[in-house]
Amino acid sequence: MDEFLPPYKSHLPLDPTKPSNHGPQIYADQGPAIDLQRGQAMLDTPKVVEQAIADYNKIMGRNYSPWVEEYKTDGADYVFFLQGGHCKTARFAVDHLRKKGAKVGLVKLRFMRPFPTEKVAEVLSKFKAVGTVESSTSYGGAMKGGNIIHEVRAACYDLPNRPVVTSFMSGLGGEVVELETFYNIAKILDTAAKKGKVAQYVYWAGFDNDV
Amino acid sequence: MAKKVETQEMELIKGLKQVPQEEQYVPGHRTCQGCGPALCYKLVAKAAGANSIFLGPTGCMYVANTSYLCTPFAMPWTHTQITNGGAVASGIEAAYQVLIRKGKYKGKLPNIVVMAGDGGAIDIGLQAASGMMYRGHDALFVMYDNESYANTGIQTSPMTPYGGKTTFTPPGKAIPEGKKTFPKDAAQLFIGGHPAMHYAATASVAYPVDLINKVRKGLNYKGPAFVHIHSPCPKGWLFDAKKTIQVAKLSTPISTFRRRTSPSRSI
Repeated sequence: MDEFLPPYKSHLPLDPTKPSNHGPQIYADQGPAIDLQRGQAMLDTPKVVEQAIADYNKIMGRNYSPWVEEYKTDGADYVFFLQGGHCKTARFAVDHLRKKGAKVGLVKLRFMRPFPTEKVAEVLSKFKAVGTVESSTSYGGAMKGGNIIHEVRAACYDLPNRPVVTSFMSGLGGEVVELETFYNIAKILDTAAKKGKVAQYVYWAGFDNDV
Repeated sequence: MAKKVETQEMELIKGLKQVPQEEQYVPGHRTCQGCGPALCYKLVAKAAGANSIFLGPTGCMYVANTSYLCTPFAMPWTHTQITNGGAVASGIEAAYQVLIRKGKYKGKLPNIVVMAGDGGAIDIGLQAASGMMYRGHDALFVMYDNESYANTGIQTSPMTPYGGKTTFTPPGKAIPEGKKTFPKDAAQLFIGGHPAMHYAATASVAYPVDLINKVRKGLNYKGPAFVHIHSPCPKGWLFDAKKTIQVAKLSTPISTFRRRTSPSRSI
């Protein structure tokens, strides 16, 4: 691990032999230019992310994808789309549902920012329905549900055959997303994939009747 | 082998001729004419010398001094939130203790000086200041007291004297006296509640030799120290900019400043 992440060395310490000033006041007229610089710096981060993941894979002998990871998506009609630790539960759910013949898969998002728009669009274009499983809500948002659904729908907007996308609120505040929840989500996505449209933009697990 | 942490020994002065000529707080700031806190900053920076780290919790001395890509501080300086001047000072002091002990930093322990306003010291920043003094970090906490929140337009602070007119306490028909409460006694508060603290003093910008000596005494003590520096604010107190020193001199022996503070004292 030390090879990948060597001990931290501050590049600008508060050192009397090399004086530097930290955190000066930014005035209103200086704000837009600084924000533009930050935005442009963010546009350059994908290269850094890809390099860092490539280094990590090489040193640690792994094969992680930098942006989106697919799990059993070959021939899948609909997929779970989520981030983080709940993916482990989702993988079990996919294994179980596949054994029963469901055409389900999992797409894991690794970075919310910078959002890999092209990669997400490319991967999701293969499916008929996408269910974002989200642990954070956005009160009064465009889709009335979570945050990831906005990004996913925006990323898929330019696709000729875009999948239907709906969101499932579950695991808020660190709650567990149960296997049963994923099975129920799969049922809803199955119906959505067959009909080509969604009944609701957001389902609250444990509160809506279907989930 | 752990290295011994060496501290600086600052020399006390006898007169104005011995005041160091090197400036650590240089022109390039945008404080008002006759600014008492700016004078206070200049004198404290002279007293502390080049081997120092200054911390500026939010306040008028942050907003008026630093602007992005421009700075009057020739010494290392960092902004802290108005709440956490003491906490950041604790971290920097602890980091330097470790770096020196492990031999990763050569030299004596820098003077760590928090330049907090009365809000950043005794009101909003009290918790972090108290924590620093309680744990016994070797840092100096300076409160430049202009008796108001001057950065945001002269609102009342716990250091505003009884009867003070501020934008939050305008005298009127209902409350003719303006501010109805009495100010806090900063030095007593810090002395009374912090066993690890060994030095507290009050000073005024009108008496620079006394001010420099008190700052240096505070820096020489191994442990936390507190210096309350009375710094009149022409804009907030509505007096002519050329009368800052005169007002400070008048305040020191007779006025509210004297009534609420005890003279310099080491425990």
